[in-house]
Amino acid sequence: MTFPTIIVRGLMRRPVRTGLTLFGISIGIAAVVALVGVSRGFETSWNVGMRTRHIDIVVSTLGSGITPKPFDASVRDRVAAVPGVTDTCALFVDFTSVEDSPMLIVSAREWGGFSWNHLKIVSGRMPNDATEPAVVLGRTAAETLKKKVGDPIQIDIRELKVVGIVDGGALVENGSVMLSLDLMQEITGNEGRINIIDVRVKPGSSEEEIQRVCEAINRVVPEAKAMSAGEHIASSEAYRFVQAMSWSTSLLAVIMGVLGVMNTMLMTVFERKQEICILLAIGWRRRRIMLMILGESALLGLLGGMVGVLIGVLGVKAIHGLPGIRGLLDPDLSPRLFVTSVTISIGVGVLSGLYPAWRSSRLTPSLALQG
Amino acid sequence: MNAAASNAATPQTCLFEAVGLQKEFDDGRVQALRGVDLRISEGEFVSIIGPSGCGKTTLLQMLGALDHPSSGELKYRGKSMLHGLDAATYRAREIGFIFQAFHLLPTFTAVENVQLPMLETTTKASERRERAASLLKSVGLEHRTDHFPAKLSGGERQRVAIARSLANQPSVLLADEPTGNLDSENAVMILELLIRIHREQKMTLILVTHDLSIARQASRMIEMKDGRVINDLRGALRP
Amino acid sequence: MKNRLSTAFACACVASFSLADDTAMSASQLAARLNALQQDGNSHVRLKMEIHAAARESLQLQIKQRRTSSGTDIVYQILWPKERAGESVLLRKSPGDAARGTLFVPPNTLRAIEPAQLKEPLFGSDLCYADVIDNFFAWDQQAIVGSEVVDRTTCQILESRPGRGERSPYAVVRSWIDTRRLVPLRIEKYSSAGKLMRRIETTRVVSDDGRHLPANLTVTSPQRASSTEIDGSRLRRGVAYTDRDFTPEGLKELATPRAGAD
Repeated sequence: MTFPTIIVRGLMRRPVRTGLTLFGISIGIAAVVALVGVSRGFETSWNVGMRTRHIDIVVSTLGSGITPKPFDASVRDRVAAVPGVTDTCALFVDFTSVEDSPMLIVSAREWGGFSWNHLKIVSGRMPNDATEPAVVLGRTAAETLKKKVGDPIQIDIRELKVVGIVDGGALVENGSVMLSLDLMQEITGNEGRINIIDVRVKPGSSEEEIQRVCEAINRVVPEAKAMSAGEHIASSEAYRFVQAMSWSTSLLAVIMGVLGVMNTMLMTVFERKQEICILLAIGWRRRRIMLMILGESALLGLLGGMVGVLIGVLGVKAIHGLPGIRGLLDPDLSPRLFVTSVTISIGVGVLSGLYPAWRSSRLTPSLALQG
Repeated sequence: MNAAASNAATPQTCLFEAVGLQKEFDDGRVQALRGVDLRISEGEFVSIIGPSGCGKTTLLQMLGALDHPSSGELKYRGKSMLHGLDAATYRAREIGFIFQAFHLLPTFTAVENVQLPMLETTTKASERRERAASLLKSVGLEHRTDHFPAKLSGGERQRVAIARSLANQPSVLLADEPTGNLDSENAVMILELLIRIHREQKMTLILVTHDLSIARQASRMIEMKDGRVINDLRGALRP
Repeated sequence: MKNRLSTAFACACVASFSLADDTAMSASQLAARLNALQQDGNSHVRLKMEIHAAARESLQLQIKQRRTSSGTDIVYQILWPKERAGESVLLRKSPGDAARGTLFVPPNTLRAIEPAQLKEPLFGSDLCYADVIDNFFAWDQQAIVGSEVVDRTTCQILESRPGRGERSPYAVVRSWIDTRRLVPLRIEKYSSAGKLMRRIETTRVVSDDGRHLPANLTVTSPQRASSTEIDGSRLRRGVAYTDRDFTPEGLKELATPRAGAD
């Protein structure tokens, strides 16, 4: 028998209470994992998407309506002429339902533009030219639409052919239907109109330099707004809301966890008062008693953290599988998040064990002889 | 049994020395000890007897460093127990406690209960386990090592508690009504076990009881009343 | 001190009076404003319709509409699935007249829709022809019959009854209007026998250039025990149409209108 055995035994003594406390913390930690994972995943996948596409600035009218409002394609030339801009790609992006799918991103890109370059073909091929009636599907989009290479796909009034399935390296891309800008403009009757311009600046530019280019673009393009790729997401109301929600909910969950563990540990100290006195009477130092109580609450935290990570992951997976959310969510369930969550949980355990441990160390051994 | 013989065989080193020992509770409203003067030598078997509330348990607490006296001096081997000794070390290494209600920890097996005090003194787990097993064997419980207290009879539990009190080879055994919760048959067995340990290991045994027949087994009987020693009898006590 | 208090009181009274004036529109005013929002010129809508009856059926539709004070022309066309693509309905109505229209089923079936057939379902959904062409906000008799909270929003209940010149399969239409956003959050349509024929619930409201629009609707018909979900995915205003678009010949063509200046 070793000291850790004693700690484990302490928790085993009230399996139901230990179980419930554990469940309490694990729900808190599950909330942390799920919420932080999802919101971070959102951010990561956006940033990864931007980085793999090497987009520094996005010019659009996002935020003024359901989807970005179209503007004249000539805006692109004005953007391209801004000093510091090295490359541009015009897009027409629509958020719409395709066939019987829920909402999907239909992203039409200027043929030959850099926004095509990073797409990796998983199967099939790219369209042959700007006018071939063809689309490529991101992997998730293909799954959602249940389409494979060679299948027909209806975009508005036109039936096109799926010629390839691609990996865009990011959630947004993988959930998109991609086609040539010319084709999309023709189908939707939007000839000469675009609603997004992806912009590249000189490689190695700092965030400040990118900001300066944004300002320059905004001066010559009043009909749309240029934002650095990173700022783009951070400025999104929805994202900030999600982030604030996830952190405040997590904080609340953690506080609940602390209270739960503290309550359990206080109860344990209270009902084991005599046992603790006996241990003192047979020679245990107060430090060891405190270590025992702290050890128990830390172990509760550790186990709760591990169970919580599990519940969180399963929960996120379950949500992920729901129709309608499928492909819209790419939670960041990295080992780093797990380690952080379990560490938080152990921290919760230790923190909530401090007061009970202090209380336990104040007991006098002479109580052992009474009763 | 001849308790007097064992008394004669030990050198008369003074173990405990109490001078004017007083203990008050509740801001002086309860006076448990009202000035006790006492010397106990190494290797003695002393029984402390008296009606309940006479202060005998309080005295035992002072001797076991479970509590501090309100005033007076208490020395162990010539050192002040209040200032010269670390209470935890003293309790771990010098004292073995035996309680009326056994006070085994219910979530630990017999052999684990015996190991509990060793955590402060012995670092190797295998060594702890071996010594605990041999202690249980010495109290005749080698077949019960992995039983939980709930599965043991009262006598068996007290024998585990005695083995636990011996865990760190203490100099003194302090027993508080060790047979109080036992039937007469088991009471006799426990008492004989304690006396055997006292004799074989030359261990000082201080036993608190209110039962005269048990008290008379000792080589010295201290009688207390109202927080004072009223009688200190040595020699052949058995009727 | 007393003076100042009474001034404050007077101010508060004026403020509350003008507030009340702003929020509590009369029934006819409210109906007129909603009617004006409805008859807002040319627009093009893309939507998905999901019919939950014995089986589940999804349709992708486009709507071309030309709504002015002098009349309403609407074309509903199925874009997907392929088997039904091209199925189109044309409905036309001028004030005071009954609506009529044409149904086209490819390759070449053309059928007239007479006023008596306006109760028939549109593409097998829970909406009938009258539901899409009738504009009950333009009816003569409008009354506010109460208020109720729908989806945490306090709504005025507007009760509309067709005037003598109107022909409608419904005798009473009640709509729960969010007066702040000017959007109906619920519509119930009753037969002359007082039976509930349709309930239309707004499940999503979007804002488009400061105007609020119901984007998702759920239509239920208690008589049929079925429901239809409508998810609007795109709305374009100011689209250019020709008169031909709203003729039986124009129905046979499946084309997206060109974007106008918006």
